[in-house]
Amino acid sequence: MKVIVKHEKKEFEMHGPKTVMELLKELNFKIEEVLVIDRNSGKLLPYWEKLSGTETIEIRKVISGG
Amino acid sequence: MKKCRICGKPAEVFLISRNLALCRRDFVENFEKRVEKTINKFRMADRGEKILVAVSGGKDSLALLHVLKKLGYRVTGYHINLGIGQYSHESLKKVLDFQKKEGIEIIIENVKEEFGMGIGEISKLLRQPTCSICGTIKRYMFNRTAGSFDVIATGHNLDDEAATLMGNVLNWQIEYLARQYPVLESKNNLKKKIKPFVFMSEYETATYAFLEDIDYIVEECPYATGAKSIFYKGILNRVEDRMRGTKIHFLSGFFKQRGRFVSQEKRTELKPCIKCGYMTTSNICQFCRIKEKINNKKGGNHERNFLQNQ
Ligand SMILES: [Zn+2]
Ligand SMILES: [Zn+2]
Repeated sequence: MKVIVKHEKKEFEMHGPKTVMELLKELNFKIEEVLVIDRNSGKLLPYWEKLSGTETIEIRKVISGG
Repeated sequence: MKKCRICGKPAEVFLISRNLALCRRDFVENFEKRVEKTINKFRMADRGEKILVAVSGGKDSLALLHVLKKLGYRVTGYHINLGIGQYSHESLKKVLDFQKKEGIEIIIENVKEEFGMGIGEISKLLRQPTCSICGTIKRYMFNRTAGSFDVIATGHNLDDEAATLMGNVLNWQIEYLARQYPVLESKNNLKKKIKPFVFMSEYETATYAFLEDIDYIVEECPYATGAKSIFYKGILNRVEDRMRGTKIHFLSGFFKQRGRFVSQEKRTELKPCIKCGYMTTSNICQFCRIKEKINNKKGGNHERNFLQNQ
């Protein structure tokens, strides 16, 4: 699957299947630090969702400064 | 898979700190209800009052403008183009797109029109920290525009406020502690100031903005990288990770105790700025001071003499 981490300006491929929780662990994000968005369906993916490996996933941080 | 606690459909959002799984529709409804509850609890505004909302183009401020309108409040937005290169460009674009889509009036002002240069150049020229210059200018311009409004609102969320509280406590900034509250009544020609998102976490405001199809700027202000507030947020999130509900307890506990600090608030005499009339602690307000310093640096001796005679 394609993973886009906008705030780090990164795009890369990852293999499925895995859960959103596993994906976040691998990338070192905590659950409430980011939104995980399925770009095709436009839905949010909570941590228990299973990713087959064909998705395009956007990881969007929620923290902002100021 | 978890099911929505309210309707039983598959959940799309899970809030760890509240152990609550919700579908899209019920999350949005729950969010809006809680904002309304905060507004009522602190008597922030009623539907007849004119509210000016500061909008940066980020998730919190645009979401606030959106939700207040949806709840039936009389809102107008206020955006300042800070003149910080690409970042300001993008922010303005998001604000204009939002305005068009939602049909909400947004007043736009420009730092470059005010000073002939952007925030970055001002800070460099005066050799003062960017974020403090920016804060002074934004506060002044926001208050100036607020003249014909009843209430001013900002999108500060739970994480912002908890991080600010942490910074204020670590440095024992008693005066700042006395002024940190979801609602500040109007005083010295300053309008009543409210923070309706004070109990909504950053995760919740980001989720709400996404689900309500609000297109906001995700990128950070280039001057904010390494900001203390971001560092404090990270620490608080690590504590939250181990002890759920810490952030909300920290903040709401403080609000209950806040009276202890208010009594110690120094009663500084404020008087009108001799140049513009803005209430300030000295003869000339900080905003006019920045203007004068810029004129000085640009080579005008006249203004320098004026300053020295103060
Ligand atoms: Zn539901
Ligand atoms: Zn002034």
